[in-house]
Amino acid sequence: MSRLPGAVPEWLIARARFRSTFLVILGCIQVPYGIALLLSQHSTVPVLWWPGALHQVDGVTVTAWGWVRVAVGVFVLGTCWRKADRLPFAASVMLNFVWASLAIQRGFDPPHEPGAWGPGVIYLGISVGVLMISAWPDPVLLDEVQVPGDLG
Amino acid sequence: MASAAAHQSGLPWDTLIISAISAALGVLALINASKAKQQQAATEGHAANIQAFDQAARFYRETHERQGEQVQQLVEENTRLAAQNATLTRQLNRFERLVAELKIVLPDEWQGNGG
Repeated sequence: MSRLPGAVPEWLIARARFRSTFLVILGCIQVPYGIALLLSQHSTVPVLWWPGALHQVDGVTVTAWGWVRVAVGVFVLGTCWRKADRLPFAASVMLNFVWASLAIQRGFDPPHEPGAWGPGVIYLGISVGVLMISAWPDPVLLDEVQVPGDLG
Repeated sequence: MASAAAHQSGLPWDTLIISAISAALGVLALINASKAKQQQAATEGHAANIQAFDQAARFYRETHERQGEQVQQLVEENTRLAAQNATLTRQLNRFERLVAELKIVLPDEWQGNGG
């Protein structure tokens, strides 16, 4: 493969084909988002985004949701390198679907909050995307098969 | 029944439905991941077989070529030895004719074969 000036490094292209790379990205998104949820409850200025502006989501405090986000993100980052990566995929699908459902519900149930169902749709897309990618097999890498001895 | 019990305990229906769908999606993700790993293992096995077959075919082709070269060398050696043999046969015949003409008596073991 020729390397063009300014092109994406080959190691990044090679690494991008693996499921674990997607899980790393997912974990790296979830942890900061959880931290943002936690910080939103200690903000001294008005928070306008959902659900940072609230104190509870479906009866659970935003702080608790923030810790759940951080915990799931850390779990995904900690287990994505394993060959058996079923649990981080399942946890990500479930958490993002719950989050999407709560956001969409908040947007349509009274009192309506139009700013909630938009992010909900995004999280629903993330959940469906994670579900699809969980079915993708990793690329096959084979070491050179060694023929025992020189039979000649 | 579990849903009814949970509803009676105070959980709203929407929470139950969301939880149930989320759990179903989680199970689906587990199944997806398992099938992906099985498919990957099958593909790896298939690719390993193909690679081993290719390597064996290359090995036997190289062996065939090497043995062909050895056969060619043996043929050339055989031709050279046959020419030497013909030369020696002619020289031996001339020598025997000369011995017969000069009436020289040679010992029985003169050829060195004990015969």
